[in-house]
Amino acid sequence: MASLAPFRATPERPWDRDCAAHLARRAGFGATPTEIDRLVDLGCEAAVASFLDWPETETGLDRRQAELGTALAELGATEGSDTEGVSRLRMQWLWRMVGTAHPLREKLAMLWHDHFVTAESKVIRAGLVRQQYDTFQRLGAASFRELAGAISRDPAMLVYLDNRVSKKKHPNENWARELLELFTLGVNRYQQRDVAEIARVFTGWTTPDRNSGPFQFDSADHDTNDKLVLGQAISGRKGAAGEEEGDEVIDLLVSREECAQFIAKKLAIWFVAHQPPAELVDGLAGDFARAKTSIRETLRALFTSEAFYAPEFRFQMHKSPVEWAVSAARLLGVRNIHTFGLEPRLARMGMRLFEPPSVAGWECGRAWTQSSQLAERYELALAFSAVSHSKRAVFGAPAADFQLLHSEAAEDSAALVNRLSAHLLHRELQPAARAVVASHLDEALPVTASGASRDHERRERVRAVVHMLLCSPEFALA
Amino acid sequence: MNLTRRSFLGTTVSALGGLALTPSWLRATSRLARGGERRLVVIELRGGLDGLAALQPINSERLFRVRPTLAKPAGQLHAIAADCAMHPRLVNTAKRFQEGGLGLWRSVGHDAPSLSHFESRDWWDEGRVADVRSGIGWLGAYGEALSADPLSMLAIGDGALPGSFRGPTRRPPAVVSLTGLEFHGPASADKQLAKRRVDALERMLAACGGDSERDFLARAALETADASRRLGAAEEFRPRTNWPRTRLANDLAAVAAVIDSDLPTRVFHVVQNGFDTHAGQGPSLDRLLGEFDGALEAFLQHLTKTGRIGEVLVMTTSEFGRRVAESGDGGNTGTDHGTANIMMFAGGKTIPGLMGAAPDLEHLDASGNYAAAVDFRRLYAGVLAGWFGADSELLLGPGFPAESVVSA
Repeated sequence: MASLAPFRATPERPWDRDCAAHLARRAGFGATPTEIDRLVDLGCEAAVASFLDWPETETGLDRRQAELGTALAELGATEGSDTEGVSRLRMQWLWRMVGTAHPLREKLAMLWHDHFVTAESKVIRAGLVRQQYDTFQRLGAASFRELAGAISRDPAMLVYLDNRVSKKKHPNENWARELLELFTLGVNRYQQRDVAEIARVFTGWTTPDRNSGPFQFDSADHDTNDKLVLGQAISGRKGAAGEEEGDEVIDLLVSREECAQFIAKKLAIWFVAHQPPAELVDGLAGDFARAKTSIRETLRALFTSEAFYAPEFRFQMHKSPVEWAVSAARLLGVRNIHTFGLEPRLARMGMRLFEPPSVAGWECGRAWTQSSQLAERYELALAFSAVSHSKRAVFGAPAADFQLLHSEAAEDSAALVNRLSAHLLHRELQPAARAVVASHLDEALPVTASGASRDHERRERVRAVVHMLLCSPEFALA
Repeated sequence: MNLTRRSFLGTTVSALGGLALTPSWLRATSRLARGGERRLVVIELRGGLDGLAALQPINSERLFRVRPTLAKPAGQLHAIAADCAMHPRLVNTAKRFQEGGLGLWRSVGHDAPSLSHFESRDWWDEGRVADVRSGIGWLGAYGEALSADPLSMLAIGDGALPGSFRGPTRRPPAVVSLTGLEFHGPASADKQLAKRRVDALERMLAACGGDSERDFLARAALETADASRRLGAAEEFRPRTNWPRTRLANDLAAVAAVIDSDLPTRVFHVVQNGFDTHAGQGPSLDRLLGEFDGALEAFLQHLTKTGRIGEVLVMTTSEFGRRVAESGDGGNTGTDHGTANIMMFAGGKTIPGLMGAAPDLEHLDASGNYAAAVDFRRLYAGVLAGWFGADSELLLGPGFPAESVVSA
């Protein structure tokens, strides 16, 4: 079976700032200059481990999240209706993405939310939405088998794909079909007959009612006849043992080579390229199978591979609106993320967490740059650019990273554009575009005053550049 | 020569040098050049409309047997023909049919149906002929060749681009509202400075690029700026009276505004979500079809009032119909994914009446679905050739002679 060749630093291809920044853009939401320095010092393996190996609890963040609870309550987003509950959960998740020292954990939660899709509009109950999010957070890097098993019993999923009303007399095929097509094997790797058989296997997998968990197996509604799934006999069982059939089917699906290919491709699409090369997917599928479907070890193989750092992959992935906003907030040191009206803004950009457009999740890549979403980006960029500089260290990046952004000599327009480009884009703008920004500064925002007014003018110049850079094609790419 | 559709479109577009082309194979261009004002509005009923509930067979014992909860007695329905009747909530639609203003096609589908939303939507979006995705929508290919103007097509809805609109190289705008594309700049007291900021941003974007992704992003940004100005101006034309307060009605009112403002938009797409009625179908479909009926009626009445109804063809699509037998029980009764379905045409020069074939409910396939009798690609061909005067064979491939959906 194939596998990915490991990255070996050589004098020609050293582990450098470009590699470290690439890792941070993909495994996280970007990195400030100091964070990049630290990743370079760690070397490839330890840098990757710093993204992958997180503690169960993140004390500082959990404390801040409690503070956020208070802040949201003050904003009026109190817990009451389910809509408000989900809205609050959405805000807390965005807050975690911006504030966490372990961004990959949240990114994986987002990946699995996009994979094992459910939508608030059908699930309704905020408690069930939260329970599913917690599962993604807890098992996002666990074995895929364990995650799939947890999701097969997840109340939100049982509601969303109607399996909770699937009974032996009227098996419902919705969950069975998506389990095959979208969750484990992919389209055209099964027959309609397999859908029907799997639907019978999962009859009786339900919840006590539509509004709450926990999962329960109701043997009275279970079809106890034998089934045939992908050519393999699943013996029908009576009583409580009937539940084992479902686990047997998930074992069967997850052990298929098509599943390794399918999940490897999913990971490659999220972390390497919108259209990853087949060879890379094959190698990653081999690593996935060898790691006994461990997501963490599969990603470790990916992030420490030679192929991952190939120059042709850099800056070629389009950020989703959430990634765009979170990366901007982290690079600018925005702490009070909940005051930016992010929820409606992101919705207008086409991305409401907990409400993907369909069971296939969000369409990624160039689809994120539709005309309808650009103006909203410009507006949010404007709001972010007006943030006054942070005087405190934020998310492991020292305060100096953010003060540098605002206070260092801002009179030399070209130098200012270059410095902020390195910080926000990890590269330079095209010369012609750079010239436009610099001349706009010289013409519209010259430094003329002295004293306090001079500081104001300098800050306005920084804001203008930050805004334009956040609007640039470069910032939309990772 | 055996060119696939994809390779044909690819070579044509690249050989002719991209966007500003007027290929001779689109007779539409000459028709439009003569002052034709033909427009198409596609209403996508997303999730899979239950055509057997929207237009219910009334003489099939089998239907009443396998749909004990969902099938309605004929007395509750609007009479359409001897063998079928319309859902109670399609009040105005049924009336239009009776008055000769609706083309109603039955048993529409294709010979390789998929029960997956995405797979099936791909077929319908692309007008696909083989089991390989081209990534090019049946309208996107037409619209891209029709005009270099990004506003020649417009999707109004959730802001997501419908698959049918994807062009070989272009992505038409998909907006939430007509003013949704505008960037206002800083809310500064200094209006002059705010304007300079917006101008500078546009000039920067015009200078951006460097590789295919950056070029794509920069071009999208500039096209958006231009489209924004023109669409924003159309908002003033929004009709305000007698429109239901629903999402679909709101979006169709925006379509009406664009048409009335004389923008060169030829193809529109709006969407109504929620038709994936696996459970609780009865009340869901009551609401959905009621909203559909009210919105369509308001739109058609507006077109009649403005005298443009002859210029605007409205059609519905849905990725599939639904299973003949109901599933679930009690209050959870619904229907699983099916295959064949109904399609509706109105406005334009729609040929009215009941077309296609009655669903054959006595001969179901292994999944319990009835067979298609009319290929949807022949109806697409009817629109492309009959309405727009385009060469539908070049757009859809051979083997799909156009059905007559509009009169010549």
